[in-house]
Amino acid sequence: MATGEFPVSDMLVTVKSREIQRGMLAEMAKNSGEAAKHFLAAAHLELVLADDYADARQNGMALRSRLSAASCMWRGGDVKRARALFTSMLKQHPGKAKIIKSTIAELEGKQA
Amino acid sequence: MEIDVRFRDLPTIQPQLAWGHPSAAAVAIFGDCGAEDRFKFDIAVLDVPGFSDDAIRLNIDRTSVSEARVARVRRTYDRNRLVEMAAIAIAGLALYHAGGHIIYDVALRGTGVDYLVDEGDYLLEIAGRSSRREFQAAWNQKWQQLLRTIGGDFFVFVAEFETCTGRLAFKD
Repeated sequence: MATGEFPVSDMLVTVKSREIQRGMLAEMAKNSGEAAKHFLAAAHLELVLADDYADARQNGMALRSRLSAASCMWRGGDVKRARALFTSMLKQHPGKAKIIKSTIAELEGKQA
Repeated sequence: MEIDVRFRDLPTIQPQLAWGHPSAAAVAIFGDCGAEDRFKFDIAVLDVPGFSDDAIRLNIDRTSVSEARVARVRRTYDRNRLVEMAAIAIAGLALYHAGGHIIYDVALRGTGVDYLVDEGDYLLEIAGRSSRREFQAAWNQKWQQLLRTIGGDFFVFVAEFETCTGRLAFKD
């Protein structure tokens, strides 16, 4: 469905934020299964938001949501897909390489 | 400035985040300090937009947070995590009551901050410590790190739960 006619949903943003927060809380509780569930939910919501922001011509927010989607995928255990997303972003947004690489570095540090 | 606040109001005044665990963690930590149904928390407020006072005392009502929920977070998280989450709950109250600031989103990893505030215009870093003697080192570390990496447009909130005091500051 074309999404350009719809504004970015505040409710979607809220649910996404809470899913990331629930993932972080599960990480803090050392419950990796719960953390993966919430991070992967957040990742998919961020991908929807990224497209919605792009349609609304909010390109900075679109990139931020893609970065967050990749980060959430990584933290949810889907590292392969996360890396593919990061690689794609580096090609599409070479001017944002610093923040993209910084996010990858922090995730790699966490994994080690 | 002294103000009566309730943990139960957090989902209304800071609607972007879920507050069940942070509120319960705060009650657990206050309970460890001997407090029961109401807690006092004194916060120095420095250069926060929209707030002209230099301090705020929160009189916090915990009655919406059940003992069962407190027991659950105690079982789930270690003490350092409880302290960290308690600081988040206090930060949510303090930001709202000192200038009406809203925590807008969780920050991206790699950005060096915890949250975005006021539609993402500002960054926020939060820290919680168990003892008073750890407070200043935590403050210096957070403040200097953000000054170095970001420069401005950020909030720092640090809470310590030995004497129940904190500091909320904004750098423009």
